[in-house]
Amino acid sequence: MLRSDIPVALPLSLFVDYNAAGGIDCAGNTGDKGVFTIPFKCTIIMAGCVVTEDCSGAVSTPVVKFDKRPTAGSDVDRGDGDIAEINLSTTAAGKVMYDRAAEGTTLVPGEEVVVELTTAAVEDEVPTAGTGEIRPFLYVEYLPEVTANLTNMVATA
Amino acid sequence: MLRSDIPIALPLNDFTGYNAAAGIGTTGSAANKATFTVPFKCTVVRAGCVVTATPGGAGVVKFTKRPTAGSDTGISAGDVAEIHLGTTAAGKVLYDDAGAGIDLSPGQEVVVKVTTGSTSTGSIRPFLLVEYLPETGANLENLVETT
Repeated sequence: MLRSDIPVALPLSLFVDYNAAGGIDCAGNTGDKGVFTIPFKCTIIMAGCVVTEDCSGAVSTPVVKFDKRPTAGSDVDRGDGDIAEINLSTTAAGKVMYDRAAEGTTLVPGEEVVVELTTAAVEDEVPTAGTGEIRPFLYVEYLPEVTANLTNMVATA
Repeated sequence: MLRSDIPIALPLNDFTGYNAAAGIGTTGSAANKATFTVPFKCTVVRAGCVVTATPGGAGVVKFTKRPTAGSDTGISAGDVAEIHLGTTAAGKVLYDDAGAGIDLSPGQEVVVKVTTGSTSTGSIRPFLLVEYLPETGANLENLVETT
């Protein structure tokens, strides 16, 4: 079948306080920072982060993981960096760090992908915060599928 | 003409206070919660909500086309979608194809409003899928190139 192979960026929702002008602050507390909604069946091409502030930290540099949630809103059977693990190290602003480890992984409506800062940028043992800000993205390829085969899709009453 | 039929998710802007980790809360009084920006001419394919926390019964969410962005003049509530949340479990995706075929142009927007609050805690993440309609800029009357 002839169809487009254009990469599609899934919509990202950043959580309260993590949608700063510069993006997600990697020097703050670790934890979940945003989520990608999956509105159609698709397969992953690439996950990554645009770096908007130089990353640094003598004690630790930032690490961001993209985890697949089999059930939206639930951490039951949630992956741990199964979609991507981005080691930001001392990457400069303007660079785009990416990971293709999950290329070919299929996503369906009812699932979601969570962006988690698992290691924060820390400069010293005081601790003084390091630096780093990012904007995550997730590129997928659309997979045509009839709605009846998507078991979590429910037509509204 | 041969062209792509890939559905595109329009960009969603959650209003302040409604971008919690679980998504948009569905309890409380009726209120606008978010808008979809329309950056190009397109036609609606499907509107829906991923349920991230199971609500109590009776909640209703409407997707409404605003002919003029930022204004409620001339709207027809729920014309793009009307989602009845019921007690749909987290992890399900409620959708409505009632608005399929509605054309959207730059200068318009689609607003997401909880019109009837759920009777107990619930959360959703709305989405709006469209198909791109090729059009020259000159025919999009609200599209103005900057000086």
